[in-house]
Parts: sequence; structure tokens; C-alpha cells
Amino acid sequence: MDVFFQQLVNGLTVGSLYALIALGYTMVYGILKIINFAHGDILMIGTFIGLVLVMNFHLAFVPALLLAMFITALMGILVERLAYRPVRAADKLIALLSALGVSIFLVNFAQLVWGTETHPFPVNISGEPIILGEVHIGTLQIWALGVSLLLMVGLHFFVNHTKMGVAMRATSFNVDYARLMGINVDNIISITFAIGSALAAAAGILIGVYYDAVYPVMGYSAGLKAFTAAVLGGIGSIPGAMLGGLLLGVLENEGAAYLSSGYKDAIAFALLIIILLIKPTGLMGRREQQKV
Amino acid sequence: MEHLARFTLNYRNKAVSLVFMILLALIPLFIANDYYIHVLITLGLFIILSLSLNLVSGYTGQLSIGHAAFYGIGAYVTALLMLKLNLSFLVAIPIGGLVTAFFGLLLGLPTMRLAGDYLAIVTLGFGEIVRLVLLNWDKVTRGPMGLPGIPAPELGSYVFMSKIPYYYTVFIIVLITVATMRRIVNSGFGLSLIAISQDELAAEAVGINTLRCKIISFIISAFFAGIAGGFFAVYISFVSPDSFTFMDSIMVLEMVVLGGLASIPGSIIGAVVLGLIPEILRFMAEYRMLIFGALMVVIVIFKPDGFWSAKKRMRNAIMKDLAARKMIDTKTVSPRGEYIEGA
Amino acid sequence: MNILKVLDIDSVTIRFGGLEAIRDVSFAVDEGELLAIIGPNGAGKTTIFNAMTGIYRPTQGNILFKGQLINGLKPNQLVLKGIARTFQNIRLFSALTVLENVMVGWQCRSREGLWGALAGGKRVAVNRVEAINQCREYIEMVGLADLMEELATNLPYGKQRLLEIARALATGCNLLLLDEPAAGMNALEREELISLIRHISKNLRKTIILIEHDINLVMNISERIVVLDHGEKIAEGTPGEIRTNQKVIEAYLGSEDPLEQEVV
Repeated sequence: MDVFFQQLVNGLTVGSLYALIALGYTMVYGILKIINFAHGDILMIGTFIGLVLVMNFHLAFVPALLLAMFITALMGILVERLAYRPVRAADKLIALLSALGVSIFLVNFAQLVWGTETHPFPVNISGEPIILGEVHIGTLQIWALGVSLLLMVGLHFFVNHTKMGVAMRATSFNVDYARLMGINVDNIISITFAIGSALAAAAGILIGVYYDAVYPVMGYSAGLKAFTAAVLGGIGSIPGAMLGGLLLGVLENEGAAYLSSGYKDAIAFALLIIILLIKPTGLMGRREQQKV
Repeated sequence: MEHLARFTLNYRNKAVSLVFMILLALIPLFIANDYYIHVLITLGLFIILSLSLNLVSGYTGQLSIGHAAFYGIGAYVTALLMLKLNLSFLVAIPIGGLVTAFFGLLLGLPTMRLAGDYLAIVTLGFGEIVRLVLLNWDKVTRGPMGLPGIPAPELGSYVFMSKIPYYYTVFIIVLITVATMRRIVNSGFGLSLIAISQDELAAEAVGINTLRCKIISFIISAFFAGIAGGFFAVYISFVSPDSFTFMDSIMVLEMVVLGGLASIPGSIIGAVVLGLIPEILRFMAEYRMLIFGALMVVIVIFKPDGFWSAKKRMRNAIMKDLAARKMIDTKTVSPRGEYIEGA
Repeated sequence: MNILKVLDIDSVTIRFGGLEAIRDVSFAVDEGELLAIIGPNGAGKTTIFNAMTGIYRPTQGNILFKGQLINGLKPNQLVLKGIARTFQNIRLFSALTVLENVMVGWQCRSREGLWGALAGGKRVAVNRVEAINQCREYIEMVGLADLMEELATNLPYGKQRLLEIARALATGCNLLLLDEPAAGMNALEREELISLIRHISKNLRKTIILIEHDINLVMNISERIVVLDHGEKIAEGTPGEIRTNQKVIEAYLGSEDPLEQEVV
């Protein structure tokens, strides 16, 4: 049973990070109906920015985290302007390819600047681990859980209780109606990318610190997992992304403990396929009815 | 007169492609440079891959972003057959193709319930699962170390030593692939596939068994990708999971889309252009892939319809073919008949 | 004397979750008959079409085609049995030409298959010629002969509706279901449509069920009319009977349907 609870804690930690990243996928999909395949690489760049701020500019962890989120948000806006906005009217497939171009560009940019090797992410984080019986909740886990919960609560408040958030939901519901209602859709899209990228940077830095590893292709697996989480929860749904992230984190860790650690990722994808076949819109997605 | 013009055009096209093929076949006599031959062989592989994906994603309209998995399955099956059972490559590669075709059938089944982005995600999941199995099934695949030492192909007493026999092998496979794909897309079945990509419900409402068509197109697509994988394994004499990643799937999709969806010449051009760009950019050394990524964005922004113009895509050449054989009256046959050639 | 019922709708109910779109509707069509289904918006006309063509499955009740139960068969299987349809929201293969669209309809009759396509040869070519010629006839019949090589998407609205009819006929159906064939047509096009429908009914001897909002057209060509309202059948009879039916008048009155005046 202790193994179960320990894996539950580990799963929730990783899962909360997946959820943060999944939010970026889901918010963009909700509005533009495209899968932002560069999201994982934006996360990676955000992580490197955080690392640079800590190592080269000697910032403390929290200011570095916030500043990195801010810079990455700007980068998210820039990417949308340069690579997505020009192809918005074209087939969705084109946007997908544009995203992949951005992805290749960012990975290779990171390799040029920081090399292909893995960098440690040393930070001094204060706090005591919590020990409950045999279950050990490490300081880093508390931080990861705490920061991601805080950000998710913040996002929830923003989306539901601010004018901008309501406009964002309206746009996600129907872009044309939103435009008719006088919402500046371009701005909403920029803000969506900014928020998604900032959350990804936060998640990336926490992942970097948690595993003490930052490297140019880190965005690939983190992005793919988070994407799975977003689909699991129902792509386009914000609560779905949070649920999907946590669920995937827990299932994956329990699966690794009880089944096989090598196939941990395969379990995640098999789960994804099964969920899609049973309920194509994910756990909390809404179905768009086709009129015959 | 117009009649005559159209016929001469048709024969001229045939003559042009014949000359072109002879030139391609003679290339190794003029270019003795191993590097160039290697690039050509790679382009041949890309062409087979993009043509095979084009059937599913271009003609049938089922977005697949896990095509590298088929390539990988074909490669591993061929490698294992040659390493463990000492089978000849002539037997191993087709078996590899057939095994891959079976996986194509499996991946075709979800199209019963899923389409669009959701299907794409399933193909992505499938691609990742295949890669992870190759990575973790140590006993068979040796995991990340891969399978080295795949023996050079032998034909009787002739052993493939230089790159030239590989060039001819891939050349023949490309010809077979192109010929098969042309027959498929320029048939009633091919017309049904285009109909499915346009409006699946309407296709079903006029009597097309859409699920069957989709599954068949996945099977054929997987078969050719598997053959390409088998040849790749034999040519490189080494397979590892690194060669069959998500990025590889995406590259193939990129070839198909940038070439022009649902067009055979389009897929060939896409494969050649995207295969050549990284080679041409070699002089940029470490900046190569950086520029490549940026170029991809620029190309889709300025050429969202693909290299091969939209008018020539999604065409079915049944009528043109029959007109050329004087079997139907050409008066009403396509003012567009001229450019249907091979599309 | 018992005339063979081509289609028999027997107490059919269709529910979507809690919503009852069709409640206990029964009616039948005789061989060669031209039946119209009318009713205000949301009466369930298209829903019952979708059930007849296998897009929806009846929650309760049976649908029989030539005496054979067809509940739960898929749309393509029903086409093979001889039921074809057009759509209210035109669903053509927009990137294909007029001729190609009709040839897609013909595919279910083709014996070529994949192997034939791969093998090629003279026989396949001869079959294809035959197919093309037949498809051209259907196109000429609906009056689109000049537009054979035009892309479907470039046709004006009214002609797209005609093309859908040609495509449906190419399947070789006995029962043709037309979902608002006159919608979006001008007066002249309507006249042509009426004579086309008559031609299909009288000369090709197809059984036709028609959903239509244009009451004049319905009264003009149909032999019998079924009236649906809120998912229920409220009347059935000849155009003359329907015109004076009190329930029908009530159903249309008070609705915002522009056709009410024409009915009353």
C-alpha cells in the first residue's frame, strides 16, 4: 500500500506539471482548432531561459521563474504572429506544418546556443520534506505541486471571473460570434498563446529542477505527454486538461510501479488510444454535432 | 485537329517520361561519386514513403502522423528475418511489407469511429507505441542498441558491394510503387477514395463501403512503407529505433502536403525537394537544420497549396486513359485532360 | 389485390437522449408512387429520412424495404438494396467534376474492384466506358450536359441540387428520397425540377419520397402527402384532402413558417 501512495504522490507531482503544459495545448486548440506542435519546444526554450537567469544572472528561483514565464509569454506571442497568423485562413494541416517548422527551428536554435548536452538545474530551494508514515513528499515535489496548483487556480480565476477570460471563452465557443460581439479575436489569440507559453515555461523549469536535467529535446517527450493528457481530458476543455494531466501522471506512475517501467510511456499512449476509441472527445470535451 | 493535338501530347508525355527514366537509370554511369548516389537512394526511399502516405492522407483524406512506424516495422521484420533466419533480401523485404500491411489493417480499424485530428492522434499514439516497443523489447530488438550486421544482399553469386546495385534496387521499387499507385488512384476505387476525403457521409450515402476503402488504403500504404523500411534496413545494414521517430513521420507528411495532397507527381516532387534541402544546406554546417525549420515555415506561408498546383490535384485519369485508347469520345473529355497525366 | 409496399414505416420512434424527434410514425409507399412529406420546421422530416437511409437507427419500430427489415443497416448497404437520397444541405464531392460525382454514385454497381484496377486490361476499360456513358446519360437527363467537366463546387445552387439527383440515380436505386430538392431554386428552375421529378417517376418508374417546403410544388406533383408535426404524423391523404385538413391548418397557423398562407 505504501508503494501505491508513494507512486500516487509522485504521479500527482508529475501530473500537475503535465496539466500545466496541457493547458497550453487545450487553450490554443479551443480557439484555433490546431494542435500547437511547437508547444513542447517553447517549454524547452522557457526552461533554458530560466536556467540562464539562475546561473548567469544569479537570480533567486522565484524571480527567475516569473521572469522566464514573462519572456516566454512574449516569445509565444511572437511565434503566433510569425508562424501561425499568416496561415490561419489556410487548411489546418498547413498550420500543423508551420508549427513543426517552428519546432525544428527552436530545437536547433537551442542546440546551437546551449549544445546538445544535458545541463543540471541546481537551485537552492528551502523547505522540509513531509513524511507521512512510509510516504515521502520531497521539497521539490511540494514546490512543483504548489506552484502548479497556484497557477491553475489563477488561470481558473482569470478565465471565469475577468472580462478578458470571458472573452476568451466566448472566442473558444465560436470565433465568428465572438468577433460579431466586438471581441478583438487577434488579441485574444495572442493572450492565449502568451498564457499557454508562460505556463509551459513554469512547467518546464519545475521539470528541469525536479529531474535536474535541461536539454534541447526535452520538449519532445514533455510535450507529447502533456498533449496526451489534454486529449485524455478532452481537448479544448480547461478543466479537462487539468484532470487529464493529473490522471495521466498517476496512472503512468502506478503502471510503472506495478507493471513495467520500460513500457511506462507505451502505457500512456495505449490508454490514449483506448480512451479515444471509447469516447473520442475525451473525458470532459464537448462534442460538436454534425448536421446531416 | 484538337483531337490530334491531344494524342500527340499524350505520346509526347510518354516519350518524355521514358527518356527521363532512361536517364535516371544511366545516372550511376555518369556519377561515380558515392555521396551523390547515396543521396539519390535516400530520395528514392523518401519517394516511396511519401507516395505511400499520400494514398492514405492525400487521396483518402485520413491524416496520419505515425507513418514512420510502418517504415520501422518493415525495417525490423526484414532485419530479423535476414539475421535470424538467413533469408534472402528478396524474400525478407516482401514479408516485411506483408507484416507491415497487417499493422496497416490494425491502424485502419479506428477509422470506423474516428476522423480528422482525433484519428491523427491515434496514429501518433500508434507510432510512439511501436517505437517504444522497439526500444524496450530487448530480447528481440536489442533495444536502443539496434540490430547491426544485416548481411549485404546476394543474388546468386553476386554480392552487393558498391552503392550502385542498391541504386537500381530502389529504382525498381520506386517504379513499382509509382505504377501501382497510379493504377489505384486512376480507378473507380481511387475515385471512391477521393469521394471519402471530400465528404465521407455522402460517399456512404451513395453506396461506398467507406470503412472497407479506408482500411484497404491503410493496408496498401503500410505495405509500401514496410517495403521502404525493409530496403532501408538492407541498405544501411543496421536498424535502431532512432530512425523511426515522430519527426520522421512528420517529415514524410511534410513531403506529401508540400508536394500537394492527392497528387502522385506532387508527392514525388515533395520528397525530392524536402530530401534535397538538408543536403543543399550542408555548407551551412551546424546552421543547417535551423535554416531548414525556418524555411519550412516560410514555404507553408507562401505556398500553402503545395508545389504542385491545386488544379492538378485530386484528379482521376480514368477518362483520359480511355480517351487515349480511343474508347470514348474525347469531345466531352476534360478540357483538363491534358494535365491529368499521372495525377 | 395487394400492391407491393416498397417502403413500410411501422410505428417508428426515434429518440436522441431525452428528445423524441419522431414519435410512433407509420406510413407506407407503394411501388411507383410519389409521396411527399411536409410539416413545419423541426417536425422531424429529415430525421425520418435519415432513419430510412441508415444514418439513424430507429429507437423503436421497424422499417421494411420490399418486405425486408432494414433497421440498423448502414447507408451503403441500403444503397445496394436500392435506396438513394439527396441532402437538404447539399453534399457533393466539391473538388470532383460533375461527371466524376455521378461516377462515384455509379461505383456501387461497378464490378471492377481493387484487383480489376490493379490488373487493368481491356475488360476493365470496356466496363469503364460503359459506366461513363451511363453516367453521362444521367447528367444529360438532369440537364447538366454542358457542365460535364465543371467542378461541382463551381455550379450554382440549383444545379448542384440537380447533380445530387443524378448522382443518386446513378446508384441504380428503386426508391429515391429527395430532401428539399427545390430549396434555393428560382421559379424557372422549379418548373424544370418538377418535370424532371415527373420524368423520373413516370418514365424511369422510380418510387419517390420527397420532403419539400414549397407547398405549390408538393400539391402539384405528389400523389399522396404525409404531414408531420412535432415528430408525429398528423395527417395523410391526397393533396386535396390535406388542403382542407383542420389539423394541418392548425399546425401551420401560428408557426412562423412563410408557407402558412399557401396552405390555408
